[in-house]
Amino acid sequence: MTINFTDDMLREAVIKADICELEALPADHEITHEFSKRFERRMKKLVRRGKTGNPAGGAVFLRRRAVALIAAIVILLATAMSVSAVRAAVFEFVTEVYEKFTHMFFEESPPSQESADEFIIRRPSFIPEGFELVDEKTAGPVLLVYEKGSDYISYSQQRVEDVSMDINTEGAELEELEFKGLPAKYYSNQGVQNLLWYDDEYLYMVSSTLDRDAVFRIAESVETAGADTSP
Amino acid sequence: MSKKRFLSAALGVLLLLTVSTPGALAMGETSAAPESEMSVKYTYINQASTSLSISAGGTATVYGFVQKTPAGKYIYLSSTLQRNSNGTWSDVTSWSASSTSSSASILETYQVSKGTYRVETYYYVSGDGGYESGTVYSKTVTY
Repeated sequence: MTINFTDDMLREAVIKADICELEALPADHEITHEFSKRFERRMKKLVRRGKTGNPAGGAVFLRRRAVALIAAIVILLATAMSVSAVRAAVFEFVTEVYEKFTHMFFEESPPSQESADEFIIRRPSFIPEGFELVDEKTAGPVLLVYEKGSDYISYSQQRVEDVSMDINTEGAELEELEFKGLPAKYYSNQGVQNLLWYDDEYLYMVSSTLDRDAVFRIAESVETAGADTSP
Repeated sequence: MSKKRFLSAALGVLLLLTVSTPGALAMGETSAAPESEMSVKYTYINQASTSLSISAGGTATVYGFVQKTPAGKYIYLSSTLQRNSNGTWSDVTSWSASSTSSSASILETYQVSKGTYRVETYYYVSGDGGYESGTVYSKTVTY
């Protein structure tokens, strides 16, 4: 026996089968199954993508841009606030320790090319008895050299931005201390005692073959211009 | 997911480095210990310094100073004003001084034209066992 089905008959049969299958499914209120939260999240995400037509998802895309922008701002602020040079123009005392000497200078940030302020000369008012002034320079950096036999005392004052100095610290201990409330360094090497200290404008240095106490006493006497410099 | 985690970790490390590194550098002094071919101790030289300043009118003030230790005998120093042209330093003028006392110094002025300058100061101190020498440079100044 041969049965001939037409296309219309088959289409109608499929529709009826679908309806029967759908009617066999339970109604929404009869379903007790709970989907996992992860599943729900993924479905919502899928629905959102479908609505926007953007594969990345509009809200997600915007959120990523916002996160990138915030990260950039954080990096910029972190960089700026952690470097003192950005906060203020300051001089940083830099020492480069080499095998035989230490090179010292002040790094200015931001750099300027000239100092507009007048150079205020400060010089020691105390020099031990018997020392004679053998070298005096005050037009620019201040340099005073006193000698007595084989002993000597030198005093120098330079603008911090001009300092470029090599000091012999090989085998010597560079002692960090506070002098007159200012940062200072003291070291003794090869029979010479040296004390240097600095403020916002100048670096001062006393070097002598005399002992530590004498060096500190001379440094303590450093006063403003016009002070008596005779021993 | 692992790609996102990697990117997050990389961003975190970058943030950490960005915050910590400049801060550490800005805390105070920096120090470096370059290699040296010689290991002879400095016994004759106590200190050497140099500086350059240029006034608004173009007057350059050149300063050089070297001080010996008690073991040093003879001091020589020369300060050379140099000008930078296309990355090359050339000598403009030079001064020298020598001494058998505790130190020697140079303080000179020189009228300069517009440009970028520095001072190269060479110092030399001799003693009973030989001599020691070195070179110190001033800051670069543009007028």
